[in-house]
Amino acid sequence: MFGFNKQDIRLAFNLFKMNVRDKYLGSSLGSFWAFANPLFMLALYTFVFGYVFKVRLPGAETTLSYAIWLICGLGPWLAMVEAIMASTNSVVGASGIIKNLAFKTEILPISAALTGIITLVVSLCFLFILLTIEGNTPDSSIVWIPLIVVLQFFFIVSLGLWLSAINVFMRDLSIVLPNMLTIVMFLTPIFYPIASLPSLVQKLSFANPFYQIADAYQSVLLYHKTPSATGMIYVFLLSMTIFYFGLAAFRRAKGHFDSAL
Amino acid sequence: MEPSITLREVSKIFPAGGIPGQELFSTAAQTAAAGDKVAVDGVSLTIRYGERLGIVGRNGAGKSTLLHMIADLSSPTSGSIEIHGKVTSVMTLGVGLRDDLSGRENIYVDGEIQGSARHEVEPVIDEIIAFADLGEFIDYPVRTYSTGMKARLAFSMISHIDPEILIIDEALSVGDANFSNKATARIKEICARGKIVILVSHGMQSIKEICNRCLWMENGRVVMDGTPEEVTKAYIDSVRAADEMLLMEKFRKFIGARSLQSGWAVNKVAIINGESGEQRSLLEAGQPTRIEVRCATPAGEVGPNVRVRITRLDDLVVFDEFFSGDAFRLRDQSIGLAIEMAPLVLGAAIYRLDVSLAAGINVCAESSSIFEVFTFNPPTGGKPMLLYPVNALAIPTGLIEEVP
Repeated sequence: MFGFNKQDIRLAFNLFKMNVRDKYLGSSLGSFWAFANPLFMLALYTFVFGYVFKVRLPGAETTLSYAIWLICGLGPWLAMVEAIMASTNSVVGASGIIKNLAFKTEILPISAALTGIITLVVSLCFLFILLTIEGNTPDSSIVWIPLIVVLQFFFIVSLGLWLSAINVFMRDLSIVLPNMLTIVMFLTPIFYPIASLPSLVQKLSFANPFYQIADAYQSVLLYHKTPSATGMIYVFLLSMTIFYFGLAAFRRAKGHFDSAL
Repeated sequence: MEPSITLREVSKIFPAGGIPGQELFSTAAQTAAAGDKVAVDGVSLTIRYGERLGIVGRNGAGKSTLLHMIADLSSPTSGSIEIHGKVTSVMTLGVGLRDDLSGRENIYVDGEIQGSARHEVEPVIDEIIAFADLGEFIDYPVRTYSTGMKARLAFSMISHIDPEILIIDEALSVGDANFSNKATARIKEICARGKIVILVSHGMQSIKEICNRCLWMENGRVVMDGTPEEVTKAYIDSVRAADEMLLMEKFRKFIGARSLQSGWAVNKVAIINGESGEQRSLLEAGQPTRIEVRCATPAGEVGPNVRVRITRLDDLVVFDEFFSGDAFRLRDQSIGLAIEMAPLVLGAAIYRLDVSLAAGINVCAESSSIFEVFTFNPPTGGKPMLLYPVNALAIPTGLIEEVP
């Protein structure tokens, strides 16, 4: 499919393992940080928005319910940020093997994007614990979660193909990207309910794939509903388009990486 | 289908300007603009089954760029490359080594980068470890290794490859002398198994030993294609000629002949080096060498003497002898003498050769020239073997044949 065969999939898996290992290998507490870091971030955001700013949701009185609502959107978001950054730097970071080993380099941004899955799993586990404490135990609607995860990562991979290739030729990208992502984060209704936006901006937000993904998690986990079908189809078609053109562009450019690496 | 490689009009241009990464957004073919670096320029080539191709050329001739394109590490700007068979390439050793992991774990990681599963590495790992011969260090982190040990581990990782088409870029000598011999032997073994081998090397000896066809590249083009003996010889000669030009350019101020009194002249100072009998200023140590001198004196002059002196450019005098001119009178009354050094025992350096012709103590004519001695195997390590000064084997050979 898309010009990938079984061996490429195995290589992608090997690279994924290596990325995870590299990320947590040098530190003495190793994989502890894989779990501690996202938890720390979630706790920090919850503290700032729940206790300091005392944001309340209509119909939800407790701070815990706000925290749960926040983590529903923020957990997947943190995973996406991590995945996008890892993916963007994947090609530049692997210049050594690119110059020495002939392989499908488009595997690099794909396998790097998948490292975000660790953060996602940690926040989802944390979320399940909080939901159980609140008494809102997830029901059968969680069968939708794998579909949302797949869509979410398909979207990131499609972005990663573009970003990683552009970053080879314009290294500035990896420097400005964190700021751009922060802007996107505040534009996306993650810290505040979409209803608090003016109606025009609300309509525009439906076209924001990050909102659609956050909304899907909230529907399933908080309200035990099926995620919005139009939203999911929209994210899929959008990702498909970006992926298709991204893969073609990446393949055109990859033979010229050596002049810029 | 038999393995084969066909290149048609392959070019690679490294753009100097333009939008970086424009390939991402445009499908239009690129053309060379002013200032672009054309690394490979329209190379067409067919490599058939059983050919072991060596590529020689100066730095920047486009050898590695061509190799990278054949290995599919980069794509040509224009032209096409058609390859039948599975390509294994060895460009740089030890890129994937991870400092925090042990040598043994690194072997698995290397396999993972190549896309093999752990169980595929298992059967060869003992062989790799035995070849690397690192003892207990194999289970220590790579950061504790010396550079030589890292190189040994890295080489061992490729030592078990069984290639169909093998591409090697200058990876031949690693580690200490002992390991280096073992590595070279293994490379030869692997090459012998490979159905097609392409090797870029600056070592003419390894090209002659391994290859059965040789390309000489210059400025991105193939200037010669033939047997390794022919091509390496032509290449070395050309490098030597170019180096001689440079040498002469640099020491122009030392060179020249002048006559201080009329009728006196040093007409010819020639250095002949090697079996070919060619006149050279870049001499290979160990080859038979002869310095030929011709001088003229006014008719009837008695008792002139010829002084031949060789000084290394740091003023160390290596050879300084006087010869009585009358002993070497030729039929036309000029003086001709030849100094044989068989073999040439001087070490690699730049030397100045002064010939002066004197009546008594008055210098009447003199000539200076510069030559450089090089050696393919410079001595390394230990104390000097020879006592200084070297008693150079220099015998005036009397009458020499009339040379125009």
